[in-house]
Amino acid sequence: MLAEAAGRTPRFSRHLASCPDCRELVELFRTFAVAGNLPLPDAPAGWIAGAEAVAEQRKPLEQLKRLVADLILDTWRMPAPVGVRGPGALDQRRLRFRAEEIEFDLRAERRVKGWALIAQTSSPTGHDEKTWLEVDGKVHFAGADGLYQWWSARPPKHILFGIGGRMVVFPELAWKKKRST
Amino acid sequence: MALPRIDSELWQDVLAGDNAAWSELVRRYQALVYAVVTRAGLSMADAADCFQQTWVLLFRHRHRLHDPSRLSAWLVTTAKREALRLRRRADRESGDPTDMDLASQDPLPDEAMEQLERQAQLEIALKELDPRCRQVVEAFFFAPEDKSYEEIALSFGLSVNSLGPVRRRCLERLKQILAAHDFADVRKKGDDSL
Repeated sequence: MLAEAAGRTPRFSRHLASCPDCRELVELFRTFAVAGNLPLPDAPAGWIAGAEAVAEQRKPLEQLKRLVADLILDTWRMPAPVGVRGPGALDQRRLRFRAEEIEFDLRAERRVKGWALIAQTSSPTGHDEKTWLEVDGKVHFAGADGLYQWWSARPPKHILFGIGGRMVVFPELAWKKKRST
Repeated sequence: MALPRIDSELWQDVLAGDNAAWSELVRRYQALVYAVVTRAGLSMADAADCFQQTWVLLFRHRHRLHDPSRLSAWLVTTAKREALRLRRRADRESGDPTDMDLASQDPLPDEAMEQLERQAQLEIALKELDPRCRQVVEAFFFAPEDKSYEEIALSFGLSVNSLGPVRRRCLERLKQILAAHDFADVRKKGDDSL
């Protein structure tokens, strides 16, 4: 780095003495205190795409077509066979929703200090950088595999899913269940 | 060549609902936010959350950012605040007293954050130079080896006498871009008004 070497290398010091432009530029770079530090690495492409999609996701609601998702499967509502009615049955839950042609799968698994969650959608348009999932105010974007994965201290309650200029509103989720007898 | 659109102009377009302006701002400052969140000692998952949340907060509170020329400072302050919050949470959950000790030290001191901000601003300006000027500046200041003036001139197919005016023009251009962005005064503090 010439800027770094400016004060140390005799040849460069001599050059600076006779080059006002170079002195000015060295001073400029010293002002920014960056000699030796460039360049800052870019964030992963998926992170950037997610940040760019924030504006799309936060469009005024009237610009988005609202769809209301219907719950079509809830493993906590299914009658459990004899032998699997123990407390362990409450540690996992699978929910499936449908809104028009969009299907949405959510799996929740209780861990020691919270919940591990994974979701995926099946839609003719699939997932891309413009799709987003908002869970209790926090936005998630799909990984390269198309899966939304996150961890939360509490199970999800309010979910919105944005896809192709539409916003799917999910019914509020309740997480209290009486154990099967 | 026209001067680049400065943050204040882009911000007006963001407020008017222009997604392209938002994307341009994200691309302009993503490396800065990334640098902050990856220096906080977070897991990659938490760093990704922190990165995302910083942009969500900026967009959510966009009508309350009073001075868009301080956008970079705002991003640094917010990313740092979010990173420290996630770090405290992670340390609480791990319950490791060693982690607790580490958490009491600030992994993101203000001085280092200011330097990152200045670095990002200079990089933004460099990216807005035309490619030839950028190469000239990089050859003088970021070359991996200590090339002689003659070697630099030769690498650009210029005579030693021609290189001086080219370098002078590029320097002037860089200064113009920095001034246009109001980056000359980079010691502004973050806007904590949000």
